[in-house]
Amino acid sequence: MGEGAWIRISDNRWRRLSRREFLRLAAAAGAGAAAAGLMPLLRPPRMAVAQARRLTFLHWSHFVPGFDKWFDGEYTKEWGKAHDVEVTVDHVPSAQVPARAAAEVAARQGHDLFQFITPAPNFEPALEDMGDLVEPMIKQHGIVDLARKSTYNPKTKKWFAFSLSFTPDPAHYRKDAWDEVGFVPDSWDNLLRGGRMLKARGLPIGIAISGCIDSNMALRDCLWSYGSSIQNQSAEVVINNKNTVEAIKYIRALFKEAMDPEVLAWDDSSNNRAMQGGKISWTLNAISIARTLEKTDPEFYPKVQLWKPPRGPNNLGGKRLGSEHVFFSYGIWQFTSPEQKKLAKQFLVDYGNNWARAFVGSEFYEFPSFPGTVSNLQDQVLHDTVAARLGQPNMYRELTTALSWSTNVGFPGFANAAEGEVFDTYIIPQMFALAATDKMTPEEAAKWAGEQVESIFAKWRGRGLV
Amino acid sequence: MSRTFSKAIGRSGLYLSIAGFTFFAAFPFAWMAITVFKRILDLYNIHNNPFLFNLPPTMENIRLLFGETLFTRWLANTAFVGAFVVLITLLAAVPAGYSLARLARGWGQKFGIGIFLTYLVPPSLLFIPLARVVSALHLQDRFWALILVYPSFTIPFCTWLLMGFFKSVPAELEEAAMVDGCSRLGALRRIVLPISIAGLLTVVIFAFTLSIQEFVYALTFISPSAQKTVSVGVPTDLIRGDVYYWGALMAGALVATIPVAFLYSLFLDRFISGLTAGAFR
Repeated sequence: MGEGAWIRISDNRWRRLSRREFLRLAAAAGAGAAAAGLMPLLRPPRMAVAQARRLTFLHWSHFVPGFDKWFDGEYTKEWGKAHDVEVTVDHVPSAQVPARAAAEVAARQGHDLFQFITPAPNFEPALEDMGDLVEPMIKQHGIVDLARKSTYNPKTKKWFAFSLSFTPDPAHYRKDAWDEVGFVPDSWDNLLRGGRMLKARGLPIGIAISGCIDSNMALRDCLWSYGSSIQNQSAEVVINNKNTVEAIKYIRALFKEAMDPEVLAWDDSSNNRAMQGGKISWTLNAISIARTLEKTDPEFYPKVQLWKPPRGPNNLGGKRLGSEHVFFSYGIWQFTSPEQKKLAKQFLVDYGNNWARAFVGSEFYEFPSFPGTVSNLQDQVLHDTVAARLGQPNMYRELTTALSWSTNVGFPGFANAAEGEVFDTYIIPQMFALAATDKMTPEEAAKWAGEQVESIFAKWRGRGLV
Repeated sequence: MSRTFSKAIGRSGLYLSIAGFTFFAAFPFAWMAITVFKRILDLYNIHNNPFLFNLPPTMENIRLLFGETLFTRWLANTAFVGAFVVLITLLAAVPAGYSLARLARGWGQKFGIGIFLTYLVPPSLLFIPLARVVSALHLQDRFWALILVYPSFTIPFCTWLLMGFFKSVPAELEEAAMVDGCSRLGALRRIVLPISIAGLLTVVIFAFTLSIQEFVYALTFISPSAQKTVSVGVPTDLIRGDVYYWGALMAGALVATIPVAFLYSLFLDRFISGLTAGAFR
């Protein structure tokens, strides 16, 4: 202890501390300091102040961090100030939104406004009818068909969610490489023919055939473009048909001749990484790939361009359809108090009428479900300042046609609860994977998927939701 | 000569194995540390050597983690929840493990296995019913919910572990203490617990580790950022849709791992003796 520490035992008397006393004091001081540091943690949570109204949101962590800053820190604060409401926005990772929703329903306690990022028909019984909000918005701004089909249940005649936006799912492709082989990836047929050559040059096609959302979307695009679907407009299961078999044969050929086997293990971020790392020549994805390249690799950025989703074979109708990549909708739980429901709906109406600001804030990642809310959409997309600054003023041009080819999970019918379960259990990627890896013939894979889908539809019909 | 040679071969084999295990154990940390300071361009370019800095290192990932997220708050929350859970686990598992080892006679082993089996029920099944409990107690969106719930998986395993450990302590020592006037509790406190310090440390480390790595309950019961633990806060803010902020994610994982790794290395010998005694006796 050296000179040691001293302790005052009366006005004019001091004595040296023993080593043990010193250690005890030091330990006590340390514990005190630690406790002081932890005091904020021990404080009881801030309770709702009686005189202030509160509104709580659950959002995903937006792909554009600036959007969260704008929404959480600016827009909701402005709105809260104008309406004397304290607004709180909580976030969860995108993949965990369904688990969080299930927990809130089980607890019968949760956020006033819950943002889903895929259609939420399976939560319909727990959700408030939003018809009183949606119908005036349709009259004022119109509605895109995919939003109507993803938030309305024709069986129960209920608007179970209120959607302000969705994310288109265009193709990203390596223009430099495709120009070299002399193809434009405009059709599934061209994709296979150009893809064969590009794979030989080390730039395969990149479509996940695995249990992830991107795979669900991309493979549905192929299925629909081949004139097939899971259900028809009347919610009857139709997947086991000859067009499905043709689509399976096509993907099997694409997998074997123009892709790498690693796509069987891809997750939602794999195609982003592969395109950004210069490993693939084509993939379907939201514009997150292009927007990320703007920030991280402006030199590589011009080589990657956007295109529409591929067109199907002419003899099968030549359809061009792309599933929405993310579908944003707000739900209000039925167990929410009437006052909070009213407040939440008031926010949604105001936000809906100001949604043009969100379109810009999301860097065009989100497109309007009510088209009239963004009056000059085409003009804004064609004059993106970041793309222009990087010498690519036409980068997002293909998005101007997105409303014509974007569609909903459940096409040509509604995104009902059964379609939701088929989506969540990855039956479509499994069907394609079983044939691509030769575990089943295309006919057997289509039959297998048909059986799986039938049982899911039967279950939801039994519950009266389909 | 041949004996010396075979001895040298044996030693080489031993050191090679140790080197292999060391590489296996240290590789994730080295990978995380390299990634923390890498630029995204360097990370994604498949022609680059992934173990070298092909572009100058950057502090951007650290800035993002500490400057743009509530990472320090999440660390404090995690430490607080972990410490509380350890305390609760010890308070419940020590008497439970001792009772099953000493007092339950032939039923002790069966009860022990029964308790251990409850540890195997996955949180993905339990979170929905537990959500009702958390809600009824008004603990939703407060990390106190985790302090309530986590012992449901730490206590069963630690009870089972301590039961095995207490069995390894000779009963004669307690009997001698009781002959000398100690009560059962006195013998436990004065004789059994001091001998069982290795087992107790094992329980502390195990319960703490289980608590800080848990994800499902933390995700479903907590949504305000300021109440989150590291395991949920980091992916929430650093995985945005299909875009992963790898550098900052690795920084978060590395910083959160270092204290636990340090704790392990500090008590490694006792931890191993505690774990083996608990498992095999």
